Amino acid sequence: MAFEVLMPQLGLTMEEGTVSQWIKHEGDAVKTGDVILEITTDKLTNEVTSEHDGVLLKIVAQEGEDIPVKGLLAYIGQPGEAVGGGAAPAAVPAAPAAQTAPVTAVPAAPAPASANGARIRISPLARKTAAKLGVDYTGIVGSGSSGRITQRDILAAANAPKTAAPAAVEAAAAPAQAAKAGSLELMEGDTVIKLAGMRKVVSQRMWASHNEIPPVTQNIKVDVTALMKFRKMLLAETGKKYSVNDLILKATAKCLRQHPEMLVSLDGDQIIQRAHVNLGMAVALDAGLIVPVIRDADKLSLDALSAAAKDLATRAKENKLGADEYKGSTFTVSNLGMFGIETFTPIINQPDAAILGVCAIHDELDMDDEGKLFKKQVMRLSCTLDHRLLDGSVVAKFEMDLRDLLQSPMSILL
Amino acid sequence: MSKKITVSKAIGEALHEEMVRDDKVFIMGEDMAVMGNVFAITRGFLEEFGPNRVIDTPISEEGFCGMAVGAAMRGMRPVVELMYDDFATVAADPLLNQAAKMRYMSGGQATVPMVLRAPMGAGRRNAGQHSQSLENFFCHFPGLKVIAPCTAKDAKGMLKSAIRDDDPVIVLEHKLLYAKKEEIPEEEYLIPLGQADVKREGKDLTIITWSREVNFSLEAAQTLAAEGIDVEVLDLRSLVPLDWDAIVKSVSKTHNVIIVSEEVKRGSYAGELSAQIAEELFDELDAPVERVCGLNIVPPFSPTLEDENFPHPDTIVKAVKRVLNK
Repeated sequence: MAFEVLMPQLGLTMEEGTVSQWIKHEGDAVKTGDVILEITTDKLTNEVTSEHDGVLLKIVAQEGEDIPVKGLLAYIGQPGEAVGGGAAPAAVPAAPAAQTAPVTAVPAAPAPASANGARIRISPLARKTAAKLGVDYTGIVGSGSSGRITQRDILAAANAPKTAAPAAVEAAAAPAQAAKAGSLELMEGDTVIKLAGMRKVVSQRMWASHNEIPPVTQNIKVDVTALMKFRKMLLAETGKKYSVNDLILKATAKCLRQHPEMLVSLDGDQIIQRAHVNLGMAVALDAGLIVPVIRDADKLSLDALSAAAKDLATRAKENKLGADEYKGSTFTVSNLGMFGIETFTPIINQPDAAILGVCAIHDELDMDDEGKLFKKQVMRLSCTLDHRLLDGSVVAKFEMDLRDLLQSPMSILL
Repeated sequence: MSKKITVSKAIGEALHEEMVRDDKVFIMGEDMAVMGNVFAITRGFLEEFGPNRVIDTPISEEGFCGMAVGAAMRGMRPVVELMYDDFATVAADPLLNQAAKMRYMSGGQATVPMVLRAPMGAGRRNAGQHSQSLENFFCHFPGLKVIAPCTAKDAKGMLKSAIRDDDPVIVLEHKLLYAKKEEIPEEEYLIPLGQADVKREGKDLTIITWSREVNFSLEAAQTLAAEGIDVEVLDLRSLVPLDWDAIVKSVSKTHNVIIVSEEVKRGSYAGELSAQIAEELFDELDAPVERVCGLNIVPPFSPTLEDENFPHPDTIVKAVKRVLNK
């Protein structure tokens, strides 16, 4: 009996993963602990290792396929052993009668997997119609017998409104974008890359957020001369080097605790008042962008907060975040200061109601009461708010308090 | 102008008209002459056309079918009747090896313009050896044409075409249709072989059927219409040659198909049609093609059991709903 390789659950909330790359190929010998494939979850890449010794008999899930947790990826067994067909429902061991496919058979074209892991049932006519209309049928619930997707379902999906209830926006985003595929004229030298993995997730999230939210971005200037001195002082006294970002995160967390009105989420016709200050922290990666979350950031000491931020950023860059570690934010900070950006209009990380953009620090000349010029260091904060939930004056008060906090840095730690 | 007559009378009219028209036409079979056929189709023929053209045979199917093949090769147009299509097994060699293959084996020097009328079907409490529907058996052999009309009009017009055809034609007549009274044209007419007929137009699903099941399918269609399901009933009438264009047209419109016949389901002509549709029209299908046939059993004698062994209107209604998932 061949062993099934199943999609692992990485984190409590993980529902499905994408097969990003097969490291081992059909026919390769595998040992327990060998990496056999890489999978991508919402934003991460993880390795799946073998739990058995043997040969990779058959790859069931092809690269690029989305497979639910516990969905069938491959079979490992002894050479020559028969395995179940790819059509068998993933979570159910293949019935003996189905185990006739010879191991040497070339795998058929990848069968798209549905949300429950089974091969998608779709009638030939519906598949043809979907191709013609550019409808992505992978999420459609079929109305035919055995849940088969029929032409009627495809036509209904093609005619469905592009934006419905907020919760449906993300789902609707994919077909709306997919429908456009192939509409661009290629010019000499162009190459076509499939929108996939992290880029696809970022693309859908940003599209959904930007389409749904009426945004306002308010910039405020902060004198960080004292903050920079304070940072040096901390280094001198404790020997620990805290980044500007650490101090801003700490100040933001503290300020948010004083401004709970900033910590809200919109859910249909309900407003959810968030209890926790869970700070999302945007981390730029080569492949895109990820926002790991520092939970209860307001309760952490500067030391602990700094360590948490550093740990999350490091592991984000190594693709080693758990799926639970980039969910559940209630407010997000995005720092482009190190790139010299002076102001920008960050896009809200849903379901947060606001996002704080942190910009570069630079020198400015100012004049004191006696008309004497002096140099100071300034930084702008760009806060985007969801105007459905928050008003400009409310957020302005938060920004002013945050500015004041940063301008008298000792109080950050009090 | 039209008149209302029974299917058996319509068949009798076809035979009569063709015998009058062409003196090479003669009829032969068990109890055809003196008795005038078990279903009274040829009553009076012996008196009118005489014993040379209306021949009673012994119970010797292989013998008189072989005789018909020889007569046809010599230029006659025999119309032979098997009392039940089940007896075709007795006459297998003359029908399947001689009649079907003679044109090919003789390089076109000989043809076999004979007609074999074969009453078929269940529902008459005739039990295992007298109730079968053997469409698949006849349709398997290249060289034979096979028709299975349902209505009086089709039965008459197609039998006349069969008699005039230069190749052997098997005419499957359902025993329980003989007594049905239907309108047919007053004047002489022909219905060509190889043309299906849409007996009811619809847009949701195509019922492909023939013979007695056409009537059951029309009844089912009426029941379904009351529930908002609009089915098309395509009466093939001619099984070989098959009106494939009519099937393509209908399936391309409705995208859902069931095939209804009285045959044993296993190895049926309904299955052959299902396979052809799956091969050629895969991309038109919105659901698997379903065969609605008899069970894989010997036709029972018990009336209760026999009536369960061929599709009825309610069986068809259920199958349609299954395919449409309604």
